[in-house]
Amino acid sequence: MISLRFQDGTLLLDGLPEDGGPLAGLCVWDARVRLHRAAALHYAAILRRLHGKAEYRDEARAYAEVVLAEREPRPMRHYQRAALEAWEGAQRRGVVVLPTGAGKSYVALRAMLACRRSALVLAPTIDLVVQWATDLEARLGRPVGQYGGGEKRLDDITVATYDSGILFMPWHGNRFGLIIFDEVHHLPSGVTSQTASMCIAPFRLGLTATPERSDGQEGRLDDLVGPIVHRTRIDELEGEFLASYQAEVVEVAMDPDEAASYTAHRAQYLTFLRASGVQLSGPTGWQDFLAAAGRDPRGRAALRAWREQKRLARASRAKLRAVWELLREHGGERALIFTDDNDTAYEIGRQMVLPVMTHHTRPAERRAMLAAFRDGSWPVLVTSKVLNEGVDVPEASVGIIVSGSGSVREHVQRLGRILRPQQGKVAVLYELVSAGTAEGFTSERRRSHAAFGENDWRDEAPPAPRPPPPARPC
Amino acid sequence: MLTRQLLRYRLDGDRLLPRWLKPTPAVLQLAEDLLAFWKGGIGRMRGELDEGESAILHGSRQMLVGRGLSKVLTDACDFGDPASAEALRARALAASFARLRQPLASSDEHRAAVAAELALAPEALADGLYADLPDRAVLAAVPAWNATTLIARCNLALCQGLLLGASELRVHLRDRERGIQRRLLRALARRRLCAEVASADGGGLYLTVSGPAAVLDQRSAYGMQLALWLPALACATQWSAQVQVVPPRGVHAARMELDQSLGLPGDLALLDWVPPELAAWLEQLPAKLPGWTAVDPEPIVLPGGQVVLPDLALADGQRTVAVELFHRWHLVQLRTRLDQLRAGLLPGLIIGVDRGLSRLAEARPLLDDPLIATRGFQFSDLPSARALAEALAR
Repeated sequence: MISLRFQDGTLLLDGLPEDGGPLAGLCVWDARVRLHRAAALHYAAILRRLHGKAEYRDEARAYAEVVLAEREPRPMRHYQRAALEAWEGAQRRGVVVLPTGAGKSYVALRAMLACRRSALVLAPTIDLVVQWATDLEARLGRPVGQYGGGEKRLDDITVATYDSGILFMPWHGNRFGLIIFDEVHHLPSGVTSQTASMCIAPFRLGLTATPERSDGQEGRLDDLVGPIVHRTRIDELEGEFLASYQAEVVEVAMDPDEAASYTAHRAQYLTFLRASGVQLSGPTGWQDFLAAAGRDPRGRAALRAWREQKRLARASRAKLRAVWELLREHGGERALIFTDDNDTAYEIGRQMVLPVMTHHTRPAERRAMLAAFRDGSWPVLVTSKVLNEGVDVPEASVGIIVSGSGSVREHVQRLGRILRPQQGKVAVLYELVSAGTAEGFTSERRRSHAAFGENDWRDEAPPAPRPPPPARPC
Repeated sequence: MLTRQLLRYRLDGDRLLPRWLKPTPAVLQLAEDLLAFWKGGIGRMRGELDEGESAILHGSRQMLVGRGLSKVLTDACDFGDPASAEALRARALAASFARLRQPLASSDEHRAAVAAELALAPEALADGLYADLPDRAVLAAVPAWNATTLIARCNLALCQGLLLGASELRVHLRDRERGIQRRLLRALARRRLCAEVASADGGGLYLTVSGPAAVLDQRSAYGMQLALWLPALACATQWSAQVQVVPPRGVHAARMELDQSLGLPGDLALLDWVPPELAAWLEQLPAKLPGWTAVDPEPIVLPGGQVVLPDLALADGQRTVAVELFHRWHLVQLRTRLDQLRAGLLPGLIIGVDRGLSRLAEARPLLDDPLIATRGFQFSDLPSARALAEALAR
């Protein structure tokens, strides 16, 4: 008889022939314990191979069947239903791509109801974990466990950060039959992927608005979660299920002294790059620049010049005046101000006496800031990156991007923050770009997405649903 | 440990060669400058110190080296928490948003109006509004290192940074002293690392250290544990190690070789590290098991060179009893240990069997062994004092 046991995020398999027999390719011989060992990720595949073909005993599974009910059931929107059906048709393993604000968490809730297994939701930040836990408790009318940010409560339904997941998976990776990865594009990176590989959950759902990664690692999601089973784009939902919106690029001319300083500093560092043969766009460009700068006093001056021209383009006086003008123009509306760096965020906060939320902000103050934003007592919030993803601020209708990276994902996520539908809402996203600077190229790069009227750089049709799965032993 | 961008190494075929920092006059001078700068900065704020330090780093020909030294040094510095500015912030923001209902023409005017309402100068308001950020933390203490120590610690941090991509560490420990062997093995177990241990000629040990899932290439989960164990290993006086490492900017594993001649500084705190849950259990032990105290377990070398490291040892002043714990995945090892007990090889050992293991059908014949009745007990997670007391009494 073959037996399966869970140990430290892996499966130990006893009773197999040396070559792994029916489980060849899924496990390896571990001479240290004189047993076969497999990644916990392969639990479902192992059971499928053994089911009906070999006698086995499953001592790995420690997850429960749970009967869940939604307190106030509501009809699914057509694209949510399509997403859920596609996921069910793919053996309950796969990634659903929906725009921010389209109700991904409701698809997840319905997946939990369909699976009837203890479930774990992983999210990238504490703010999102708190939001998920609060939402699930309200909808399911039962306590929800929480792991991360000082909380360590496991329950049949638990929400945790990816970071906590990495730490607790060796102990609790067999306690969940369904695992949901919110903002699943984070999963393939480095150690984070082990939250998926050290967990036996046979049912897996990934949620994201933007699965593509600049490093091309999104292909790993196929193994860790499953294929993309459904995709709906922002422009398919605008006006009906998402707020109508306008995206406006505002070119801001620097004051003459700052423009001159920008030009001089930029010329200085570009001259050095050309002379030293460094290509900043190369894979090791920045390292090469630092190394070259370390060898040569002109290089060190070039590095300082690079910083200064970047600072000027991101946060010129004219840009900050433009921010103030926009706040005046949209007086009374809820506005989110995004920056690329903390320094600019705090500069705006100090100058205009506004609340700033960054990773330095303590959790209690974060909650207070979000609550004040939602209830309208503090209707403007400045942030660098922490509000890029997921956090639900449906009241926001104005977004002002003071500076950002060239990442399409970041830009789409920032737009998503203001798209939650509300009666009569027309959202507007301003992107402030310092005229005549390299910011123009950065802005073009991040807007190459259908949401901004351009062809998505890797837009693709959703794959055809797979045929219904065979009987599941999970 | 050093971050990815600060790791200096080169690849030579299948070998990874760290670029060790050597105490050349230039590097010594740089280290001394940094130490003097930070020691002179006690009482000043981190932000201004960081800014001041950049002059030293930019003035050096070895910026990456300087950044590495700075990282190691500032990680070891003690910064006090800046005073909270939340109360001022709450008042200022309330006043600010009240005025934003009818915004003034410029943000300067707006700030001045809010400041006046709080009876502050506009500059004081701007300065105090976010005065509790980390860059306002005040430097309280700097480690009492000299330049040579800082360079050695930077080399250790380089090694640790590279170990984050390690899958397996093969160690030849030549120290014959049982004390250091015992503490190193205990440190391994407490970090949930797996080790194959064999005795080496001359009284040393061969260790092959990895994590449970290392055979499945889930290396980075254990890279951190290996990196934290390295300073413990460096407490030994004679050792060498080979590591398979996937470098941060590489794809394939390469071999890195380390030994005591590198002068990597050991860390006794990491050698004797106790996980919090075990520390709590040990703290309660004297009250729950009167007359007994926990002592460091001695490794037991069996004929043929196999080494058994008990999980615990308890002493009552007259005798010392070693305790080995068998978890759910230790079925094979339990079978072997019972054979060894039966052969009289381990006279001072009692064994604990995890209830999860007891429930396995294959384990049941083993649990019926009379040795379990005389030398064994059952436990969940950690042994209870009562079960231990009963086993000790037997």
